[in-house]
Amino acid sequence: MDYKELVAYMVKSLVDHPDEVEIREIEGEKSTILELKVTKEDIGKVIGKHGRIARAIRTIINASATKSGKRVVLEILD
Amino acid sequence: MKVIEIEGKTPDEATKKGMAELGIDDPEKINVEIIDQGKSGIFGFGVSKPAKIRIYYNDQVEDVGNKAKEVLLAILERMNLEGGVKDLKEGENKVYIELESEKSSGLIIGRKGKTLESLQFIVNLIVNHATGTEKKIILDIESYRANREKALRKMSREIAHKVIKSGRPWTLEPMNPFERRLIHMSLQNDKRVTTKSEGQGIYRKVTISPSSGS
Repeated sequence: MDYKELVAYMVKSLVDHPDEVEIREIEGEKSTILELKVTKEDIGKVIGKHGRIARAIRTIINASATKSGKRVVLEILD
Repeated sequence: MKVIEIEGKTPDEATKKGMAELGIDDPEKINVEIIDQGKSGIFGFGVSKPAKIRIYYNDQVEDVGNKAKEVLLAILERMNLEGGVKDLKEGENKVYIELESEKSSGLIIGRKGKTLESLQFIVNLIVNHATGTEKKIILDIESYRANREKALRKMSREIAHKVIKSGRPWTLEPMNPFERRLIHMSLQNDKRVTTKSEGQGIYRKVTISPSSGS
């Protein structure tokens, strides 16, 4: 399961500067951490009002991680 | 918006011809105006006149539906979930997409519909961003929405009954605007209770209270 690719597809389709989207995947034993970095102007586009967009992205990641039983955490860096 | 004029033996035949010419197979995507019904010339006598129609077709409309389908399938594929589009209906302001999945419909819906809700939200954002339209895309799978609606109506009536009996208000769990509206609507004609939404954002909840007069 490629969580990085899933997040990259969604985030790059949402922002104005898809070329400047960076995602780092840190894989642990029980959990995977995804560190997402976008430009300053785009940060609102991945977080949304009251964090609504970030929450939706996390829900979608978790649904695809259900089968593996792994915890996948999305961290948005600023 | 495209407009074409077509002639045929009957208005129906002309419509079919026009759709073939435009390459559309869904009659809901076009508007047909009949200019002339035409005359068939009974038993070969009389003058036969072809029917004439005008077809209005919004070519941008199709872009949104197709884009939505493309985005949705791309996300499902990357989620590693099998699923496809069973039906797609496109209106002037809305696109309705019905999904199907043999094994993963439960995962696509998620707990209390959260995943379906998130997918719908993200697909709307991406498609609006890409096409510059504000068309609302609605996702459904295995009639989840209709069933959820039924369940919510039933639940609201049951809880209203408890509230009337006990005389104490009851606060429901947080719901999205659509679901809250449904609760208000389903109880608005019941004079024995009142409904009110309270709280902020995702924590907004409906409280069902006994009417003060009773």
